[in-house]
Amino acid sequence: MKQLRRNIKIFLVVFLALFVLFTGGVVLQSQRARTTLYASSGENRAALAQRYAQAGSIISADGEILAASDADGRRSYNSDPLLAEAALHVVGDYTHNITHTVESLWQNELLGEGRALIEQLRLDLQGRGLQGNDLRLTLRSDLMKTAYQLLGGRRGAAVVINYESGAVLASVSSPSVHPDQVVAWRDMPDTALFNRAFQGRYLPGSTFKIVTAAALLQSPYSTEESVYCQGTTPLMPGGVNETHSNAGHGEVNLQSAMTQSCNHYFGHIALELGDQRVTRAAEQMAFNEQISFDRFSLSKSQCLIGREDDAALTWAGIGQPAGEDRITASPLHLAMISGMIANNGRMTEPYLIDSIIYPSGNESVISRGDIVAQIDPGLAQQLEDLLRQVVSSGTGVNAQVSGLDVCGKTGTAERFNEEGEPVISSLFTGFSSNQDYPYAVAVVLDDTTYGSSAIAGQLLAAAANH
Amino acid sequence: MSFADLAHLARYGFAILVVPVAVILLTKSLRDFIQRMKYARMPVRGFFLLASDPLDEELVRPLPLYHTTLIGSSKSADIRVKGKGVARRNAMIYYFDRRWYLEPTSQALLFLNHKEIKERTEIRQGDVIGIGTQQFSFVVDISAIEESGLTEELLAEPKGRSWMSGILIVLLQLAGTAMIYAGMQNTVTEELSLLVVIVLAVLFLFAQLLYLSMSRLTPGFDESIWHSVMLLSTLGILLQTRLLFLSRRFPDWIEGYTMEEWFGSLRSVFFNQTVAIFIGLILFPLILLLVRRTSILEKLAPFCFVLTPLLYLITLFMGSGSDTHGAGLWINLPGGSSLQLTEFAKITWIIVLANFFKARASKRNIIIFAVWAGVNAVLVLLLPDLGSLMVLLPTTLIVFAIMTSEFLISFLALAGASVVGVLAYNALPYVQRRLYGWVSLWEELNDYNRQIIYGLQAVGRGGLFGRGMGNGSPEGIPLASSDMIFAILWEEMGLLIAISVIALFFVIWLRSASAITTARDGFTSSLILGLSSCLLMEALIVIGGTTGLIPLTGVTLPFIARGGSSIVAKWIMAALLVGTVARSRSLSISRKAQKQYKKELEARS
Repeated sequence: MKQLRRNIKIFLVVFLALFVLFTGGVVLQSQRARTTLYASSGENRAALAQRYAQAGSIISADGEILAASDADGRRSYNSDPLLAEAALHVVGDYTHNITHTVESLWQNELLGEGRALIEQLRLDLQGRGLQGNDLRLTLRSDLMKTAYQLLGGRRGAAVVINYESGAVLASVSSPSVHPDQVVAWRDMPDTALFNRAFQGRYLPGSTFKIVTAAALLQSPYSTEESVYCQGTTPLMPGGVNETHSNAGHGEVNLQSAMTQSCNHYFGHIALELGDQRVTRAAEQMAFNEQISFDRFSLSKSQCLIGREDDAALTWAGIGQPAGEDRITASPLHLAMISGMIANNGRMTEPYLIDSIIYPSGNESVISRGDIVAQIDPGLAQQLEDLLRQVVSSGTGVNAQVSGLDVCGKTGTAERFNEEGEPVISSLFTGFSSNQDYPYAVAVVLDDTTYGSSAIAGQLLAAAANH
Repeated sequence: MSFADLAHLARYGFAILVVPVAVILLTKSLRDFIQRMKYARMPVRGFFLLASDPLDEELVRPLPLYHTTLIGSSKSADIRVKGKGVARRNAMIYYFDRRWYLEPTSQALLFLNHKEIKERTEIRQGDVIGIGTQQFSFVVDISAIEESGLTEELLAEPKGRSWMSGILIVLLQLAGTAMIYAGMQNTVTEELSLLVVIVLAVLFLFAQLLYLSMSRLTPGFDESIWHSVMLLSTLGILLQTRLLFLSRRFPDWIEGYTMEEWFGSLRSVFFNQTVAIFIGLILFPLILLLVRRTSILEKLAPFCFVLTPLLYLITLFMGSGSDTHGAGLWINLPGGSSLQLTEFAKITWIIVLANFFKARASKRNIIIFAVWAGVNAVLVLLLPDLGSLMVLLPTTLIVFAIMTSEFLISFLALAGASVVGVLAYNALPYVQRRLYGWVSLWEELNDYNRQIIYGLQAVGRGGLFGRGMGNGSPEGIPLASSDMIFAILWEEMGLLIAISVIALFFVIWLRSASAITTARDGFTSSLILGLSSCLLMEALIVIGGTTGLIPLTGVTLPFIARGGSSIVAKWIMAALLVGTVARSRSLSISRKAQKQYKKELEARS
């Protein structure tokens, strides 16, 4: 009997410990499930329709309903198919067939979960406990539609941001489909679910000359030193040459090379500066850095240049990496680089969520204005002056807008990828330097070498005419 | 206010009804347990050993007897004898099936009436036991039994708010039924919802009447165990009814399926489930009284020894349904219903276990049991029903370790089982897949962990109070009503109620553990321990599995998960448990046994 009692006591201690551990473990798992398993691609889709029955609305900056659940618990998207398609990649779908959207990343808020106990109790007593919160985005419906129309079904992306505040005013990726189609998962065009504006990894092409110029301006080398451009003849065996100007640009200095987008000049100075100076200048502009905001993340823009190969280095200098080198940028990041130059060297963190509107009507505005990266204001001013002439008299004349002081840089990427397929795109990144219209823009068109600057100009005009 | 919003408000009410019951029961059980441990050991009334002093014949001391009394030189012996030729654990005296037995537990000499004995022998009034130089005589004290007037004296029921638990459970039953009625308006016809509500009302009323009558009719009826079981069962009934009728949409995508057919199928599932609970509730008092009043279990034990492997064999040869559960465990009965015999085999296993290890067992008995258990384990693996094995193995080890104090052998058995587990992992591909699914739980979604990930997502959404009845998302979670029921419970009722459920299983174990020390015989102790440990292990395994703490096996959450066989078997276990615990509350042996002893004594004199 003594032994039995002793054994029981031992097991009681063991079992009580087990109870505490087990309960703790179960609670821990539930917390982990909350944070880790949320919005993962492996969601229980069968349950989502029911869960979004009383979810909050997603509203554009100008009050257009981008997504809302009706009284019957059905979730629908904007009745204008143009706007619904334009906003697809940012807004997303409630079935979460597209990941990394407001619908998936902000579902806790949309479903009204995780409220403070008292607040939740108060809502429950009013019979509105299940009602979700509305989200007001920074997107402008007019700009979204314009951008989507301008892309006109071609593959590409267009982004407009307010470079002072960081607000993303438009972010469009094409091709797109209507959200209802995504929900039903039928007739899906190729790559239609891919958010090119955030996730695209584009070769920056000549837009990267901004980085090379920044590297030069920060180096002891002179900007007035002229280089003789030999046209289609490569700078060195395997090095850069001109593709659009057979005769070449002749004697060029930094300003004229930038205006005409001279490959020889930037290939030459890249060689002179060396891979480290170029990489450092790129990293000052947030290359090789994970940019995340409002739970979204951009594909990481890369600038990985090898130090051995001189010919490759000349290619790196014009944003068309050769060999093992990697230089990529997302359209939004390109717009942020322009915004940085316009904003006295300060790259503000972008944001998409303007405010959360609670069922009570209270609106909570999230504080903004973090700086992602910074360069010297003087350097920014020098770059701005360089880019002004690109639009006023150089390759970017198509981006001119009457009444706006537009600065920017064109780019063309023509490369063969690892599978040997040609990768062609036309890029433009720029901004309006007018104080009243602090807008930066980036446009990328796939499979073509021209057209992006015109779209960029029209977007800036549309943004300013608001 | 829509029903969804009403449910979202009502969830606070459910928490307020359930959590206090769990807290009251848990604190009461713990307090009672500690108190019992503090007080002196409780000897069996009316039976003594008289120890004569070898130096002085006149000096005689009465020594109390417990259900199992160890005699030897060890500190842990209940009666310590020192001297030459006395082993640390020399012999034990124990009570089983109305008889007292003496059994040698070592190689040292043991004499009964001056003759050496080698195996267990019944002892009677006046028998003289010799250990070393010490002599004891076994005495049945008639006056002590007569003083108690042939009635059983009971240990007092521990103080606590039993009535409050009862009232809260009734309120929960009322509120739950009302919610289900309100929610069914949206999905099915008025006629069907009325029918369901009436059936539920009858069920709950019957359960409450049963409680009121049995708690008065059965001396030593344990209120805490009943309340725990009743609360779990109530939650189960409410959840299962909700899964059938609330927030459901008519599957209009099935061609040629009419609304009437759909209602019909819902109704039949509901009736199957309810009938199982009714069967359980009807069996409960019968088994309870039988166990409390008779020694039927002691008689059944040898029969169960044969029955257990037989149940597995029948399932092995006649089982079907491998397409639904990964194991062909269902025996189809005429009339369309089916039976899962493995659920009942757990009970017979525990009875056999209790019989073998009612006290420290001889090596021979341990080996016999090990062989028997091994044969059964192989049969279970052939089924394959890993869930049963995962429940029975720890249960067996817990009972074995506590009842026999053979910690070394328990540890070796555990190590052996681990080796078998590794072998099984290599031999059985479905175990590998399951384990892979568990390992990759936080990395990726695949076919082997989809169920648990969906369950965990539901758990994550549940939060502190849950989302309210009908607001959960069982759609898309495979086996939501059986294997994954805990996830649904958490999502709709919240963390507080989920933890209360875990606590209730611990309450059952705690109440049982304190009953063990006061039981009048080792068999009862062992059986109580086996039953409560089995329930607890099953609950922990399924809850741990649902929440991804351990690799899931197909075990059902006792009293809550769907499955007629499981529910009936669990109610039988509850009846056995309440019955044996009631037995353990009397201070002396049973009334019948007292009569028997009295008769014998009179015949002698």
